[in-house]
Amino acid sequence: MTSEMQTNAKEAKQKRYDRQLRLWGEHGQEAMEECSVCLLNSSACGSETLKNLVLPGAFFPRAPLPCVPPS
Amino acid sequence: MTPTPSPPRAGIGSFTIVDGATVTQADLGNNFFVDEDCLGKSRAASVTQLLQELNEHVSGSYVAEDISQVLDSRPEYLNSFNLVIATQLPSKELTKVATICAERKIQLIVLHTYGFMGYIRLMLNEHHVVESHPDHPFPDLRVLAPPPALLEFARQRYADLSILSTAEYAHVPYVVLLLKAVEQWAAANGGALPSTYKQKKEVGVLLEQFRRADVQSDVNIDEAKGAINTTLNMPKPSSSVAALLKGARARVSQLAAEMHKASSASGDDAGCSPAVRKQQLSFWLMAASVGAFVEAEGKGMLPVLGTIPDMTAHTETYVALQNIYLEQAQHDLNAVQAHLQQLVTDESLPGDLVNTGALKRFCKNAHSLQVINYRTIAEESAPETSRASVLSGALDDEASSGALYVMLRAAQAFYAGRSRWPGFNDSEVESDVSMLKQCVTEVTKELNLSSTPMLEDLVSEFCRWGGAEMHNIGSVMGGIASQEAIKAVTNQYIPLNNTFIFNGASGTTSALEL
Repeated sequence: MTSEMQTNAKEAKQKRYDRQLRLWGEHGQEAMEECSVCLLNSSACGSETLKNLVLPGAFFPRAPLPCVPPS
Repeated sequence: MTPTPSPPRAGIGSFTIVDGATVTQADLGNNFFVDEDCLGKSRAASVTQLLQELNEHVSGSYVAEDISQVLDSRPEYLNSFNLVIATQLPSKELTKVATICAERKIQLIVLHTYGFMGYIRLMLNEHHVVESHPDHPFPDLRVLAPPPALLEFARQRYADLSILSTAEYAHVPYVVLLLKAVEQWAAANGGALPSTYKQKKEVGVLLEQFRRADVQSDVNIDEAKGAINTTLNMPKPSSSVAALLKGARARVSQLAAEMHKASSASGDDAGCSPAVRKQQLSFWLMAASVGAFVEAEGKGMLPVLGTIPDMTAHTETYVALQNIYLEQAQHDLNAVQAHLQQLVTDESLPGDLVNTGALKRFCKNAHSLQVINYRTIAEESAPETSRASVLSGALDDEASSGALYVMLRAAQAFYAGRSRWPGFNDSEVESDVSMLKQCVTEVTKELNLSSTPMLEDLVSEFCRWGGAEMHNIGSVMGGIASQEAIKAVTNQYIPLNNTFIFNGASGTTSALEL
């Protein structure tokens, strides 16, 4: 990635997440993006929780894990 | 000195759903992330796919197996995660997961909705709150302990207030007025500093005498009077912060020893993950450095915040003042950094544990640092360590939170014996009532509660609900749980400690430390 592309990506991210960045700052966003979370059971409340974490981009992809389909 | 390499962690910045269930009609009724096409398919796969559609930047993964199956074949499965959100788990599985999380210091949020009841339990181990975001932050103007540059500023520009023109007098920044008033008060009181409420009032009287007949609008004097209570304080750490800073040095040594031991031992280390230890070391290193600063250069005071509140002043004056505080903050930060360097050398630690930005934020928030030691779920459950007194107090509160807690435990006990929730089958609702009552009695004994709470109505309600999840309760609880997850992950704001109970029938909530 060139530095120009990096700047563009950063700006796009800033625009996308502007309102929440004011709440927890760039370092807060970074902490969320570095976090790996495991949800046990995709129940109603579990899916709702994850939705609220997916929307603010808590889990920005670095290296997605392989899925394990039902055997 | 070489930094200890941490092993690469899979899936950093990602979510994984572990769920062996297939989508049923019941799921269609309460879960927005499955639709009719998903019927009979893996629920983990369906929810992962629909969640991903919400944010194209996010990619998740799933494992279509129950957590107990996963742990049977791969006991170390959860080790690579920072946060586990366990929902709707029977107590047997929950105990297994909670034990792993406590051992490996993985943050755990337990979530359960049962009919109209919602339950959240946080187990964040030793949790550090760096930025608590207080609602009413105190300004840090150091009127009682002025930095040398501030004294110089006041001496050069405001040696004699009486010679100032009307316009200039109305624009003397209030911090200077406070300095002058405190100076006068000290001169009249043998060099002492005002500390009691009465003494501060006397400073207020002095400030009132500063008003000049020719100055019509002396807002700056009002500002000075208004700031007396918040600014005439020594910026010393509060007793809880002082205790935290005092214990920090010993924690650094302890964690450093653990780290050296883990890196010299071959194979996997049995304790927490290197990332968790690194995070803990980073916090305690910063705390120990600030503690050393308070003892030495700070003369008992915390590093200067560096930001000042708005005040009536000419722009040039205000900017000059801002710079004075900013420079002092930088000066203090450098001193803290030097202490940190010394600590890192003394303990032979890697040099990349703390970056300057993090240290700066730490210094800025040093006045409101918090460490919360969460009780483990094992401690909560064991009769010797459970908190009967807290629970008894909540048994007949308005939200009936204690009663709901006992009921959920009883329903869990019911499930443990029968592998189904009470009232799950329509035909057995009534016969389950007496069996659930039996479970309530058992749980009451287990919890050391002095008397069996009267839960007749709730017992039949729990059987009527039959362990069903409702979409509205799930939505409320999902909202709260995700807020807590963000607090847990960012070390910002103060997370709840440790149990939250939502009574959806009455719309009431309670937090208990169990």
